[in-house]
Amino acid sequence: MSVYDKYETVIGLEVHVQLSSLTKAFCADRTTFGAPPNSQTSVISLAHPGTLPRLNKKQVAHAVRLGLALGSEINPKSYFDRKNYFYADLPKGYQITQDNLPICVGGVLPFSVGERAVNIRIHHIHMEEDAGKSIHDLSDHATMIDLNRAGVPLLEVVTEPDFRSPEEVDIFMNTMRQLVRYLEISDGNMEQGSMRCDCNVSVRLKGETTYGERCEIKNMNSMRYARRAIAYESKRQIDLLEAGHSITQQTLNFDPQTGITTPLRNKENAHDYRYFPDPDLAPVVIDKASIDHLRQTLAVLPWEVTTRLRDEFKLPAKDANLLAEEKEIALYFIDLATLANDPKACANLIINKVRPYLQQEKISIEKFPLSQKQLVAFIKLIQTGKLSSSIAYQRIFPALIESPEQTPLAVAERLNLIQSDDEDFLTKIVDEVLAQHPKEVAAYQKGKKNLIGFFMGEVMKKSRGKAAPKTCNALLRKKLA
Amino acid sequence: MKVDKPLISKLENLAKLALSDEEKTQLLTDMNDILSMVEKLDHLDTEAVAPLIHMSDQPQVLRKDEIKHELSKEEALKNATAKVDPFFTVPKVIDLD
Amino acid sequence: MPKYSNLQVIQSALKAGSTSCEKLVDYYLARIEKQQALNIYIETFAEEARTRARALDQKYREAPSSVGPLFGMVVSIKDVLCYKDHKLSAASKMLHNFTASFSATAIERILAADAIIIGRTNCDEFAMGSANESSYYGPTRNAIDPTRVPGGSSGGSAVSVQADTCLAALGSDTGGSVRQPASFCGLVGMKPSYGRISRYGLLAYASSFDQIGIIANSVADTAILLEIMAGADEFDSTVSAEAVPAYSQHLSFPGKAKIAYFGEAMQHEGLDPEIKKQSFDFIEALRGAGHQVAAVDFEYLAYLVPSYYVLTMAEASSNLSRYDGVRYGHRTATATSLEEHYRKSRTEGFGEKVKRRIMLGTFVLSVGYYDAYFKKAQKARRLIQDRILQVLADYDFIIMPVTPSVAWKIGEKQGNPVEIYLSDIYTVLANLTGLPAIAFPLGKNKNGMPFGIQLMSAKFTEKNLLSFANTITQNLR
Repeated sequence: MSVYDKYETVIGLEVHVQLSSLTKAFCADRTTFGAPPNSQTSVISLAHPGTLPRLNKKQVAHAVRLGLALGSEINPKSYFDRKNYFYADLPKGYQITQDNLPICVGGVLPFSVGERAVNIRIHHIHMEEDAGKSIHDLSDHATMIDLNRAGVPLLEVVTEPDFRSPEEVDIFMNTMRQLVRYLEISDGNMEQGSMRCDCNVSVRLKGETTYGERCEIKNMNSMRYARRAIAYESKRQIDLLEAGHSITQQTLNFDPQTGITTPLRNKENAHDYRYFPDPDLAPVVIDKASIDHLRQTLAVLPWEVTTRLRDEFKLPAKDANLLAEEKEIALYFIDLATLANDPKACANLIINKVRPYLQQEKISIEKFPLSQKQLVAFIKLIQTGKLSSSIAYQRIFPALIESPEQTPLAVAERLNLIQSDDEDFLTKIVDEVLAQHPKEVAAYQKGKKNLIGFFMGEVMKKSRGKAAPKTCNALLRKKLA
Repeated sequence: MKVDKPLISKLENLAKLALSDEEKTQLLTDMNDILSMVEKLDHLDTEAVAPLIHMSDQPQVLRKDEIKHELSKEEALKNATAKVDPFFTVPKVIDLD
Repeated sequence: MPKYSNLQVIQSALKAGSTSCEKLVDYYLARIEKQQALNIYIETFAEEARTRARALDQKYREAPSSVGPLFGMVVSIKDVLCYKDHKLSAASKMLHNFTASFSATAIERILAADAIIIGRTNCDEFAMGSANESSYYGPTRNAIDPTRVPGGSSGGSAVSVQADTCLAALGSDTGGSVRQPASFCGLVGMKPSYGRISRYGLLAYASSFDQIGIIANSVADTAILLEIMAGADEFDSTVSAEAVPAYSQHLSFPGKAKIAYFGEAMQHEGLDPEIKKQSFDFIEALRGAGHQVAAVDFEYLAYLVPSYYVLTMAEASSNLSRYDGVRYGHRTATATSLEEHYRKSRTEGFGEKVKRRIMLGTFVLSVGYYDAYFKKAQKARRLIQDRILQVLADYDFIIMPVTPSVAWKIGEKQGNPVEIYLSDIYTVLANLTGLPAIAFPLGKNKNGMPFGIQLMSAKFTEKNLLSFANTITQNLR
């Protein structure tokens, strides 16, 4: 038992979700990612004298959606505060955020680590705006400022310190990503920065109920880095405690090159943000009717879908999780399985053929060239024994993609691949195969029963894939007996 | 409440100012005078009073999510004294943030 | 005496053909030229005003009914109002070279109504001050006695009208910055209800106190300007959706009014005896005219200035954080770090009085002091507002002096800031409570320096306020 086993790591997250809206939180500039620098600003996002904020309706709706999905309490009245500090990419010299009375309070995000169910409690969700970008590496003497991102709407989700491992954090963030995509409030793309998190890490002896002093690792935009950062930080803190030191609360940066956390060099010693209610923004009031409407039109939730795929469609957990990763795929599956009345076959088809095709062609399911009707027909051909699944998958499917205007049956006939369970035709082939391999026949009859696979292969080859496996198998066994 | 030099430094830090010694001395006097005047408020019993936070009774009227009123990059950079097209510039920041 | 005392007179002359917009502009420009020593304008838009005047005259010739309600009105604007493609300095080195990229909603509206803007006027730096002595461009002088201040912070606005260089002026009023200079210069000055006029394009000083204000020779001109500028605006979240009455059509107050005054205010030891006497005389005259005027208790007088300054300095300290030299504004010549850039640019760009307010505002918001100062002041504001609303539930108006004294000599009050702050005692009430207030001339002291008196009414009752002010200024003096 190592010294590290005496401790448990306690983690809380602050997740920033950049919302997918056309315009920014408090002004009508566009929010498109990757635009030429400083081409998406206005006098308001540049904080010109005399400018004032106007709150984007979308941001409020998205905040409520997220709150409803997580089972939070929606505050019918919430307001904004100013967080005052100076930074080159913070045009107003303050960020508009919600410090005192946020829009959503409480809630839970459920997920599983293997078989173990985990429920992470949400402390609150609040609305705020993003800062611009500071680019340090384009010049030796100057930092470049791009304000396209300044003012982009963010939701910040703050959790309770309920995490106990980097793995839990990883799965949580994955589930969050899935959730925001299901809700269509964000694309949850960490690489592009539309989702990032700060990790508050502390350690304590197992069995302790009080929390240790925590350190905040900021701006993790990759879960790989976050896992390493948390693991490193946890060890660093334990080492300190074991050596008899105490932990000082600090803000840290993780360097993926060196793999260590270092304190951010503070521009000011105390972060006194001087929060006060923003006098330029009246309170946000949401009535029950609006909340109810959002609740009723709330997109289906990922864990609801996964449960449905397992319980109603009887899919194994692995398949259910895979299909549920993207809402469009999950819903596509449900439609298809309902039409085809064979969930397992539909799952196989989508997981093994459709999805890889979409990924390869870099298209979404709406652009998939085959209709669900065609896929149902395709599955039926396999179900009714007209095609072996391997022939169907390997030969018919690609051919169908090439000729999407044709039916699967037409393609199969054109390629002459319709399985035959014509006994005469198959008997002929079986007889030929057995005649060609007397040694193996003898071996089989002596006890090597697994040679049936060999014979099957030969029959399939000779029949150019047209032999119906079940019928062949039965015939072979009869003849070999 | 008495304002002293260390407090002035702290405030300068938060407000991003760098006053001369003369200015600081004068400011010390002025601030103390003003705060004495302001401390009159201590006489007011506000125990059970809710702070007045918003001047307007009406709730926020939300804005539709429609693109409007954008500035061109040229217009955005127009008033900046230090720029390297298409960026605003500041002296190199060495902090990692 | 101004050549043209109000818009109606001008519009009659325009109709009769005895003047034109071009002639008006020429007249005013000559007046400006003659009185440079008063330092009223930071910049005159001479050529532009002439061109616009000619275009408006042409428009009028072609179709007399096509011109807007402000046709013939030449106005000045305080240099805290954004006017697209024009410089905006806030009388500060910090914005000395800044050009606005948009126009304030109020400016757009007066231009749409065919007003002519003749120039941007001097003021106290960042609208902070009561004497127009803290401008980067030097003090403005009172036209009646150029050795005296015009009041502030809209000193330039006031003198621009006082010295007959335009018909009316737009200023801003956060704690009396339109009413006090109006009073010092013998003019009408009005601050509407908070939220009546959009603040979009008004450089922010204290966001929950600021309103665009009007200085004019008459209540009638004030009314038409308010009517044009007021109303909902997509750019301001705090502006009211309350309908805008046709103020200019309702300038006659029907019947008699019930008016309250505060004994504490009238008996305040700082109030000049001459002003006090004439104010009481005026109250008597009102009674004589059949209005009810009663003394009412107001136990919060002593808390007005302290709560005002705590809250406005706090809001200002935050509103002025955007002036950092990065995207616009003064930038220090040499800085080797971001920190140094900030500190030097801001210290060089801001004047002493502004820096003082930023420091104090930062203080009252900071950790450990927020509750004792800022929150305390918010609570005081609640008490004050509740009390005033109580009074206005029983009375139509509150009458009060505007300032404890007449205009002082330039340079006289450089010492103790508290003394100047305390002179705001009567004006800050309207800003603390968000209520409309109008100051109009009452009399002159023995040295000929004017002083006014002010009326306040309930929120969004400008129609009553203006009509009553108009009625009594017509009839009582």
